Amino acid sequence: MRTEIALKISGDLNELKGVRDAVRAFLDSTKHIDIGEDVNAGLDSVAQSRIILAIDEAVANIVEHGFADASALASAQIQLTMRKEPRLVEFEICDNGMPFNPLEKKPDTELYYEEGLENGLGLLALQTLDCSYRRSDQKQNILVLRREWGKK
Amino acid sequence: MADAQIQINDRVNGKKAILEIAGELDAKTTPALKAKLDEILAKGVDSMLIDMARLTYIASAGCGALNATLKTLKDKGGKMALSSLTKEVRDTMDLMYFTKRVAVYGNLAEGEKSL
Repeated sequence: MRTEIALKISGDLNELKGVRDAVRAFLDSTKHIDIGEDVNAGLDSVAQSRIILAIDEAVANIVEHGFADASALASAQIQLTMRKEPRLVEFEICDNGMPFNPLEKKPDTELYYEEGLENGLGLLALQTLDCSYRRSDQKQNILVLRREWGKK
Repeated sequence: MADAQIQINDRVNGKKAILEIAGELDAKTTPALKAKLDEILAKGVDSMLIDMARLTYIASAGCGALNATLKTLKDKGGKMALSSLTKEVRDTMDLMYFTKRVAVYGNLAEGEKSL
C-alpha cells in the first residue's frame, strides 16, 4: 500500500512545530499499517526522532539561510511530501530559495566546540538517512530523504 | 496549530546554577533559552547543571545555545553538566558530539552532587 501526503510550509520558523507534528503523525500512522504487513516493519522511537530531526533541520536551514532578504522570504514556497512505500518512507523537501546542496556542506565539529559556535551542526542530522539533492529546471532545490523500514 | 513552547526554571546559588528545561528546543524557541543562559552567566555563575527530564526535543539550535554557554563557562574555569536526558534527546546530542564535551548524569540529584 502506498500513501502520499503533501504539506505546504511558509518561510516562518513558527511552522517547525507543525512540520514535526505532521511527520510524527505520518510515521505513527504508517507504522500501524505496516505491522499488519510485515513483522519487521515500523521504526522505533529513536529512528523516528532522527527522521523528525533531519526534516526539522533541513526546513529550518531553508528558512534561515535560503532567501536573500525578508521580501524573498515572504514569497518562500516550501513543500514537504511524505511517501510511504512498501520498503521505505521517503520525504521530499522542495523550496524556491537560492541554490544550496546541504549534502556538500561538511560540518567542522572541532571549530564549533573550540569557538563555542551557535550554528553549524544542524546538517549532521541528514547523515542518519539516505539523502539525495538536485536543482530542478524550475529553480527549486529538491532534497530527498529515505529510510528503509526495519533497517537498524 | 500551537507554537512550540519552552519553559525554563532556574535556581542560582552563588556561582552554581541549576536549570530545568521543559518543552521543545528548536530554531524558534532557542532564543528564549539563550537569553536566560546569558542572564545567568551575567550573575557570575561558573558551573551549570541543565536537567532535561521534561525536554522532549532538541535541534541543533538548542545545542548551539548550550555550546556558546559551555565555552563561556570553560573560559572561566567552570563547567557544564546535563542530567535526565530522554533517549531521543540523548541520541540527538550524541549525534552532535555534545555528550562528548560535558558530563551526563542519569538524574537531577546525581548531577547536583557533581556541581
